[in-house]
Amino acid sequence: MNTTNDTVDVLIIGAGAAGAAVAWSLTDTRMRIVCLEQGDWVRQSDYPTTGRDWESRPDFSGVPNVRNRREDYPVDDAASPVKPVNFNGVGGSTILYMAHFPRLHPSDFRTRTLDGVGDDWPISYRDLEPFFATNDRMMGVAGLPGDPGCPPKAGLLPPVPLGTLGETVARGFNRLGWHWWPSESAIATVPYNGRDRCLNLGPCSIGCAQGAKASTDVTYWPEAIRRGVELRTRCRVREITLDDAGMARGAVYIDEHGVEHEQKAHIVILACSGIGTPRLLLNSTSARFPDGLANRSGLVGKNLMLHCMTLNQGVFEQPLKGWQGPIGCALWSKEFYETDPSRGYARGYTFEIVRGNGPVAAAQGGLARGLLPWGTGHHAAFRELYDRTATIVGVGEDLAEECNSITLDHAHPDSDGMPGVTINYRLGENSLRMLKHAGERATEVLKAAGAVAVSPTITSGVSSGHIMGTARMGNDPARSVTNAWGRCHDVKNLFIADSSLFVTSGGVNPTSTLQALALFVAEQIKQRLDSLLDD
Amino acid sequence: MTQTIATDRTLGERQSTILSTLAACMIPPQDGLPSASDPRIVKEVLALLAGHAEVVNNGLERLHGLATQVGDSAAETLPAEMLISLVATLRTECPAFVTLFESTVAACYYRDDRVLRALGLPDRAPFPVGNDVAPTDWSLLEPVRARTPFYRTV
Repeated sequence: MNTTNDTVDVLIIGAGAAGAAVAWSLTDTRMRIVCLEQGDWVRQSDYPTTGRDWESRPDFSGVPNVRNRREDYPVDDAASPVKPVNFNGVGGSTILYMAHFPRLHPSDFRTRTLDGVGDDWPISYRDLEPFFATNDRMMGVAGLPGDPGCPPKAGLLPPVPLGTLGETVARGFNRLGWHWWPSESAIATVPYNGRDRCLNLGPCSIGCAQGAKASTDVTYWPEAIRRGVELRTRCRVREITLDDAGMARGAVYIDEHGVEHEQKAHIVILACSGIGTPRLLLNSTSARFPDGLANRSGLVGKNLMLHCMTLNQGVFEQPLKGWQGPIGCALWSKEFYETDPSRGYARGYTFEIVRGNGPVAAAQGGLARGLLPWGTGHHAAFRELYDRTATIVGVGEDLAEECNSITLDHAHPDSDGMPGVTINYRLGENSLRMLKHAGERATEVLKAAGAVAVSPTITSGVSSGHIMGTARMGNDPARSVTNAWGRCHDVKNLFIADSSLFVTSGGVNPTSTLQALALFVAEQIKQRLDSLLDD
Repeated sequence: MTQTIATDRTLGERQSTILSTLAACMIPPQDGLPSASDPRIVKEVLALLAGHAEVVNNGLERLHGLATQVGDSAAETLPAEMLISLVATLRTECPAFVTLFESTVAACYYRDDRVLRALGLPDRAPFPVGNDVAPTDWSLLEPVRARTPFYRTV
């Protein structure tokens, strides 16, 4: 193994949504910062939407086992009704996310106090508010001020247009008197910070060739690198090492040539995602930590939250032009977000209206659901289906349960021999009741919008890039992995700055909140530099 | 096609014939739309399926077994209606094959220039032209704007 003699001030593992934000923020300190990323940069010209086969590119699938790049690790989700998706590279999962950019609500941080379920976070929405604002400025967020379903926010770029599909569904919400609002979207609808405006290519979920979508390779990273951060790509960290005093000494990583190195650091920050962070901790065993690093609570990898989800598709008589515009960003509804005990479950969900697919995905989906027959009826059925469907996704809060977890899968190692992961996840009783309610309401609003047919509610087999809770923060070392500002209870120079920290999931996409949290953790480090390692 | 799976494996002649026949059954020609067995389309289909030889072999073997049972003849000689009904059975018995086949045919068919033009869709990649989306009439939001904030403050 090559051991570099240089000990850097800060070593960040992971260059995704959180790692980019924390790296950028810490540049204020003039410390020497190195970030190790197992994947690579994605060139804009490599994105699928630059080619005619844009709907058939497994190398840009969100499913790591399908993508199967060198930097991906095996994820066994066979027993889970919700299938995790991600991306490994500079930008992390922001490369493939839909840029739907809601924040957790204030109530999400106090579910125990308000509703008697889950646990309260050790911090509040108010604590994160300035970091939400900074993050919105760095990412560039489009939206419309004045949403009565969410706390106010400023500085929004012009909203993404609803298009025919969005307006059609919005009228359905109006007919029922239900809340809706244009989605806040991490998309430059006008030129912003060197990024050109959105061209309405459609499938943000396979990456943005235009660079209008706020993936952190085009937002935080250029600025962080300009301010001195060293980003090393194709470097897969296998283990966090410890010194004799039980402090983090650095990390062992394998470079693109298969050569093993140890990078030493005074502070180590994990930002590898809700799967990657516990995977690395569980793989870092020692006499001091036989069950995984910083795992005296036994909670590393536990309390996995993926969001429970519903999916309903309405078929309309008229074309909806749904393939035009950012697929995941049209409108949302918070009508059923906050707890109402009369509904028979605690907490709630957001409705997100998804635009239509391209012809290949529409045909594949129609065939899979038995809506497109073989033979002479195929063409008529396709014309009736294509561009005439609107999809409503219900994103529901799943309550943390220790049985929902990530464990190491030694039988399926990655290309460098590090164990893959197994997803152990089930939907709880509260989630099942919530999903039933969401499916019924989605059907109701699609019919109110004019759908002539609505598909049965799908709750199993859905994909989620929302991976949270697997190294939760808290004040009690027996009930949490880190303290209230991301420092591991058991290793005082080891920090976590990603969605692993989440105590509850809320019912929204987590990227905005996890990035605000990363900025919050970085700020705590900056404010406490002279007492960072004190008890 | 950057993602046509590169493989040195090829399908046998009989396999190619039956797969082409199945493609024709799945999407026949109609009103200016080609069949999925059109030579340009089916060539891509076969190239992609060649990368999944085990699934394809299993599926075709079972299909031939079913064909022998119902018609005492080779699958590729059966009438289209009968072949389609056999695929319905195959869907239960060999779901991996049917899913792969349908998905592959759909991928190759619905990116063909002639198909896209006949459907009135752009025969180009989304980037760099993109799409124009009409500005939204935000007066639609008036009833929502009239609501008082209803998120819970803490």
